[in-house]
Amino acid sequence: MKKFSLLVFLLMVSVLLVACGDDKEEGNASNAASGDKKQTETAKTETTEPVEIEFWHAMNGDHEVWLEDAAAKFSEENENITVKLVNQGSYGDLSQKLLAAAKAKTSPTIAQAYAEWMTEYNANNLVVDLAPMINGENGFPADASYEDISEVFRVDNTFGDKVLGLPFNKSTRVLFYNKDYFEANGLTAPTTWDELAAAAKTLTKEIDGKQVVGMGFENGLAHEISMWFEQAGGDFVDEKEGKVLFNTDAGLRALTFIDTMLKDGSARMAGEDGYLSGPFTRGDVAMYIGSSAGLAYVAKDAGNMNWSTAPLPKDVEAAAPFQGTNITMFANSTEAEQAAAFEFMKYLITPENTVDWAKATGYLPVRESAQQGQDWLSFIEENEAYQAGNAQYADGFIDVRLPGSYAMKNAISVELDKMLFEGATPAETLEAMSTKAQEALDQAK
Amino acid sequence: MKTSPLSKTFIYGLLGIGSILMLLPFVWMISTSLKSGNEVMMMPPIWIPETFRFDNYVEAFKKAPFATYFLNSVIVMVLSTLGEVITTILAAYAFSKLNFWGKDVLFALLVGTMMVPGEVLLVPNFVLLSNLGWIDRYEALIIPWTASIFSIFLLRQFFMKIPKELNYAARVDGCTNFRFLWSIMIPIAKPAIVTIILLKAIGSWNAFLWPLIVTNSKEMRTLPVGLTSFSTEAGTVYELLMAASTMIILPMIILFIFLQKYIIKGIAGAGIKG
Repeated sequence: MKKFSLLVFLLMVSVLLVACGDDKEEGNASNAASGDKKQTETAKTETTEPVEIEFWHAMNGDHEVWLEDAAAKFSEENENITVKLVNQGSYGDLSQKLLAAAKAKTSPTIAQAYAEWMTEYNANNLVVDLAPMINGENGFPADASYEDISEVFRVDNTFGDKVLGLPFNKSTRVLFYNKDYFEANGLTAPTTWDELAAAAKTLTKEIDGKQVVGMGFENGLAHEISMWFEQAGGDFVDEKEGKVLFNTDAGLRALTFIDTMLKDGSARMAGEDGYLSGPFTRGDVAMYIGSSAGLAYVAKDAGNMNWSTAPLPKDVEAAAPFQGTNITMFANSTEAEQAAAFEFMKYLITPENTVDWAKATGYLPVRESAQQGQDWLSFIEENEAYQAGNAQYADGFIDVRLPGSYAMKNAISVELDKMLFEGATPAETLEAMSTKAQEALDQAK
Repeated sequence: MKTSPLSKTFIYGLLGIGSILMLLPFVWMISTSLKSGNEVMMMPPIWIPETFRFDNYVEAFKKAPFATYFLNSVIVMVLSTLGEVITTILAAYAFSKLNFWGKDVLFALLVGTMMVPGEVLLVPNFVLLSNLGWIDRYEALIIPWTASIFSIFLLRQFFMKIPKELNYAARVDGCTNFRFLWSIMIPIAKPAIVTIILLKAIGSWNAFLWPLIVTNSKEMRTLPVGLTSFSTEAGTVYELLMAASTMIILPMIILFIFLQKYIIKGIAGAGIKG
């Protein structure tokens, strides 16, 4: 017994030690941020000296290949600047590593980051305000100005009067549909919710000996639920007040719409397949709403199936979420590094490069001049599936960027899954989602 | 004791089912590695692809510098395993056969650290290594992994079962602690040590998060990190991922085949009388 209590005591001590240790780290990190800032301010700008900048990203496969090519070309044009690309795995891994690096004061010069992460970095003074550089003498050239970047993407990077990033890989949601199935049944791509529901019902049947389900929802439906609320004419969250606004008739209408389709079998979740690109290219689902970044992926596996995309069907309103990461700059870098990194950030989204990137990946050109330019327009003329994204900028909206919005999304996801997978009713789900989401936001205040 | 043919059939039948269940994932992996993208997720599942696409292997290996990753994985695995075996044997001997002040307290403290989940320590450990200047170097990949409380615990329990009388007899013959450890304890504990080596080697070979966190350049990364090349935002290229996995897993299977005699002894040994 004596030994046991000793063990318990020791355990408690070790837990305490660990807990205290962690606290200390945090204290250090915030001190460090301000310390580094001072260092930066005193650093001299020497543009003629060779500079190496480090760019942490989460681009894999063909996306990474494009990025490597772009960095190589950039270094050719700017002999003094070397860009070191560091692949940090998935977005989750990247986020974790950025957190660890920030605490160790070893942040890279620049990194891909969601606006949501930038909210946190901003709160801890980890990132650089780009506004002075944008408005400075080495800002954007007149033929590719900052204002030329689509408003929805500029807003995503603007925090108060600070600009904390530039857009890079941006995508939107589009409706993927199987042209063969639609044409054989005399249907066209749905433009409203009612048409969507009707088409899903018609196409839920055996086609060519295969049991087809009309509509598919991605497993990450919770992350795009704001889109359904907005389309139903409702609101999602008031960013200024940090208040959840979706517990309304519009919210209920959205959940009921999804729930009804799932219940009557005219829609399915991606489920075990992970993503719907698989079932879609196999012809198991006739249409689904998914990321435009999946275009290249669907194209690869579609074989000789005829397919295309359409703008998102609307209900009361048209609303299209714009997602994807920006590139943000960290404060513990020298002024020379920051100047060099800014050049690279601009380079990645020149009108030519943003179109080239979009062609290679299915992401969107981030500049208005590029979206309306001959190069892109003739490309989407030939590649019909890329047109839908281009039609949605006017209806675009961005994710909530409040502190705690990550926790809020998780809370929403937990409650929504109860409806999607466990048969909870839309009304009780909406109520629970709203309460839990508000709790998550309040906790972060 | 003689087993009747009926119960023998039953036992073999059960073992047969067990082994099929164990082999199934491997078969699936190899079969997937030869499929086309379309066939991967096909329902009902296809076990034998229409055409064997050996090209998948070529393509997979073009996606990342796997030769460098392979070399790094081998270096890290060998050195960290070697380091762990040395520290484990010494520590387990001290905790089981030597008497010193605070031995039990120290041991309880060490075992207590096993309660702290690794994720909690990720950031503090990263900060520590960063301050030491080890980030993106072999030191970071190897040195933190050259001691394992779990292994020490495992071997200590094994050592404790070895009767004290052996120690006394050796002492009478003028044997030093080190000699006793080297000539008597280690040979007796061979199955346990091989188990530790094997668990360590597999763990090190498969480790993903830590190598990813502490390295930045492709020259320093290991095989599991290389596998992320096949995951994209819109999904995973399973056929290539499985092709690369098949190649990566091969050394572990070879290691297992050569050492399986010891593994079984090491695990079954726990129940054998001292």
